Amino acid sequence: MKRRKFLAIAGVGGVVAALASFKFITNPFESVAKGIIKSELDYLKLDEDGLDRFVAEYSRLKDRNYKLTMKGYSLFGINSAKSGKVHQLVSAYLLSSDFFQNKMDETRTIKYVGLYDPYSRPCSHPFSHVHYA
Amino acid sequence: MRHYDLIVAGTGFASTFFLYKYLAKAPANARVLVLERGHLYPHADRVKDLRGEKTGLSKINPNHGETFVNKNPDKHWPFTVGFGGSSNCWYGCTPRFLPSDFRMKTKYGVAEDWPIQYDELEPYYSEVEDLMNISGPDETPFPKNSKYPLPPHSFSTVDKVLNKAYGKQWISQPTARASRAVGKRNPCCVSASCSVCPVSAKFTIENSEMNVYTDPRVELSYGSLVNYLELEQNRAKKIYFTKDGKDHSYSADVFALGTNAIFNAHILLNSGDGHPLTGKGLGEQFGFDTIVHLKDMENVGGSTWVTANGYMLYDGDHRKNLAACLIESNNAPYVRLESGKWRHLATFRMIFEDLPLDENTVAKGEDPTKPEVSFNKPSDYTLRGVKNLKEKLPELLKMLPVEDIKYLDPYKTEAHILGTTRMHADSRKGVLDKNLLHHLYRNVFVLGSGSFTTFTPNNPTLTLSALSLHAADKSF
Repeated sequence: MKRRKFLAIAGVGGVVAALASFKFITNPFESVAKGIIKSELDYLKLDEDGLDRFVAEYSRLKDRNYKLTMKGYSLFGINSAKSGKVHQLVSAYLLSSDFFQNKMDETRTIKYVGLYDPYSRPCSHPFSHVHYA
Repeated sequence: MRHYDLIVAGTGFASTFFLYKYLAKAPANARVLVLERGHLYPHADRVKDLRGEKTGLSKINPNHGETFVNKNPDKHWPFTVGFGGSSNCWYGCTPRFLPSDFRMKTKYGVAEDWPIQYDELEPYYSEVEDLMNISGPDETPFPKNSKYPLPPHSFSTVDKVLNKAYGKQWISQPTARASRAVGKRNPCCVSASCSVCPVSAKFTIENSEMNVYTDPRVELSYGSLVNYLELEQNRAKKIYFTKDGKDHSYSADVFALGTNAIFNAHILLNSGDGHPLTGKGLGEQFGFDTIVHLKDMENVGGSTWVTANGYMLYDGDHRKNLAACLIESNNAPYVRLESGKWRHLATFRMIFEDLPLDENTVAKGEDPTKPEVSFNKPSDYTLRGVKNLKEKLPELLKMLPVEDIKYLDPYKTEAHILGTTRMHADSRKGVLDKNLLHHLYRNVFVLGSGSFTTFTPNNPTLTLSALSLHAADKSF
């Protein structure tokens, strides 16, 4: 490889890396989390306002390290099949919505109800004996 | 100098059940002092703090991680400091041991036999189950002379299939998470946040109604950190502790250490305990979750967090070579993120026994109040058990429509602390006798799961509580 060609490729690579780093640093966690959920559940209709409220409230529970990890996962396209954290985020959204109350009807728009929190709303396990005798 | 008939360190399961039996037998004028390092942080306030309502009490007790030096950060040793000890954070699983668990050397040539056998402990198991109002089934893989006080929890749909195939090898888990309202407790409604139950369904010392700490013979001293015992020949004379920044010492006829397996050993080492095995053999079980995807089968209907225990890989001749495995059917609100398959899965926690190894220790550190805890790794015996499970599981689950099986990484803890003052009939091979009395210091009881001779795959609380009842019953 000629020196000039090598420098050109290296330059383009550097710009791509710099752009990715810039996006990694500046993109807010809320936006990243929302993107992950929409991507994982792209076959469902999600209420946008409710999704915004969910990620805002969920974000308040999480520390910097968690948010950085999730940004990294998003950047490298790591999905719920590969990451427990991604799986947990998407599960938490569904458990915080009316999806299970509506018996997992995939044709309805999913609405946010409130963070899934056993200390605020105990006994709300959607698959328990309370709902399936 | 104040003198007591009995001084107890700690207010967790081991101390409370010991005291319960002691007080039933002691005279009306008995004097008992209980030294508790922490304070009462009531359940109602714990729930409020978890809801975000600030009670100002969340820092009333030290975090467990600040109280000792962990030499291996990849291994965790969680517990709760404060009144009631780890009854505040336990998950309420209460299976009994099997008779063969007490005879590992005789039956399988592994480790050592316990100096106490299942038949001797059986009535005390029943008594603890009554006091804790345990929910459980009629059919069990261990012999049982009494019915559980509360009916069993409901199986999930997956459990029903496995129970049909395996009978009493797949049972509704015996548990202190109540299946019906009882006393001050509500029924479990599967919030799956058992470390602080949102509805107070699990047994704790605080909601126990055992009336141990309100007994007029008992003086409870909060904020009292036990440092050491004064040992003289074959007896302890005094206990030394720090309260409000001041050092104190009181004498007693009898002492009972009921902190936990880290601090009981540390107090003894600080006291100059001459037994070569004190502090050696620290360990616990080894476990991980397994996710099983199911084709067109919903896993629903369970009425508690762990709905069942599976014993198919527990007891048998394989234990000559590899560890027993106890399976927990986990009913947390897991979701399968695939269209139309939201609950087409089962999750099982696989829990393996381990062997006590002398290289895993509690030792004195630079700070005399902080034990140094060292744990290397699970034994090869345990890891062979893991390999065996992975080979056998597809065949064991053949009655379910299994699509695939995924094994998750091991947990860093099963939240048990065992083995630092093991029992043995031979005083050279164990620190304690069958009544939890120190072989060398004959008025010192060392309570709790530090006494366990071997580490079965079972949760330890029921057994350590039964051992406390037995010890007090036989000694007073």
